[in-house]
Amino acid sequence: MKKILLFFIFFYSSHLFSAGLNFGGFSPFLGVYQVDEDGGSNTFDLKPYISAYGRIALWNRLSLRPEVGHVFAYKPLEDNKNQSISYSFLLVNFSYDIFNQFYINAGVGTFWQKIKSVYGQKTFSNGNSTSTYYYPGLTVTSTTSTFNLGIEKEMGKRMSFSLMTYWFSPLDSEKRAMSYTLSLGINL
Amino acid sequence: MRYYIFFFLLCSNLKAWTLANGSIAHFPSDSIPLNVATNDSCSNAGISHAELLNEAFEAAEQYWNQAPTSRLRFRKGETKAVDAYSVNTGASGATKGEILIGCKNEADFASIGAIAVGGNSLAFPDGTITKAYVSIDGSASSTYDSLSKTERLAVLAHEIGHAIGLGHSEADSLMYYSVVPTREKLSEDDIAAVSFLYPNRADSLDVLGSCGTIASIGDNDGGKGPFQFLITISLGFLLMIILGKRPIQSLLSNRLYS
Repeated sequence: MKKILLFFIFFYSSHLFSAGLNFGGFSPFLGVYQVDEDGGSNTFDLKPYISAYGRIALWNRLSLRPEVGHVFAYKPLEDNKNQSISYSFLLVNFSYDIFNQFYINAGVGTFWQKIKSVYGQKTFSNGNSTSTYYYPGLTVTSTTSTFNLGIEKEMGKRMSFSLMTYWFSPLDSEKRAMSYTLSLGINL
Repeated sequence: MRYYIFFFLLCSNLKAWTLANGSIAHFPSDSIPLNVATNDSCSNAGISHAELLNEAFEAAEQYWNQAPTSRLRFRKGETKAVDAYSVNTGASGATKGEILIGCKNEADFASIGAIAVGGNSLAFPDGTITKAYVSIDGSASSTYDSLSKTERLAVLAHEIGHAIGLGHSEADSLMYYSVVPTREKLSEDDIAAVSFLYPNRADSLDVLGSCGTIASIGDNDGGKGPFQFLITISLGFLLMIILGKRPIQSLLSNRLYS
């Protein structure tokens, strides 16, 4: 861990590093899950998130843009008192300045989906009778790799806007799913 | 008294995915075969055994195989006659590691108000599901053949959900206790449930394929592991920002874009 910190400190002190914070929304798995009884799927289901990013100059217009972030815990259903989902992620993207600080970003990443459940039990209908089912008391992490692709526009020296897509399990034809973020960045 | 009312309101609004078993039980394998027993005829249900196998696999593909944060994957098995066929009494007849699907002519589905049932057998004390079953009403009063294709797939996927260890949900989802005619995909609740029991593992980070080692289901990180790593990295960023005395952006602009 010290090596990683030293790595960032090295780049920072070499004047080729800038950093910033992103605020915005994360929309998981576009079109993968159903959100209403009419058969509609999720499209603009944004969950608040925050991330910190760096930009390390590599060569000419190319830079490395590592980013760490967290999607705040939310309930998959409004009335769900027992369970929540949150995500943490680490991205290693390359960023290319196409023109006038309009970047195209691409790279790989890892998302950690944290599923939290508080123990309990409840009796539900089951055919003509009822059965008791259980809420487990455990937190489980699901780890998924991504390919990332997106665009970013810096507006002045302090602000930026970005749209990033994250392709979960990109080489798996069944489980492949795209998530995206819309965010406003503040360069520090 | 008002506290009791408050407590009641809190509890009465619970809507969440559940597990079918008191323990956190799951199949040890990531890849589960779906096989169909040919012992009892499915003619009353209006379907052949081969068609049932195709529909069960189609249901598994359309629903559970789509969960992007779950490692679980179903594969198409075969039709076969089994010994001691009794798929509605705890998966007898099924072999280890499979989900055995079949029609049951003797079971009185009408009396329990169900078109189909699903369940599993556990190997205590570790909570591993050894085998599981899905049973379709094959009796003379079966209403299975009156369902639309969408509804049949949803019914099969729902019962497969029970077979892999999931319970009912009170919310609008595949695991809701009644058939929703327009249910064509998982809900986010269903995805969370299957990802809880069968999460993607850290050892499958290679985007080109996954390794085959066994991981513990109880990944209660408690601030360790990847989260501790992320927190450390974030603190590193913060430290650099706080300690920074140079006008970074202008320096960056000079270096990068001049």
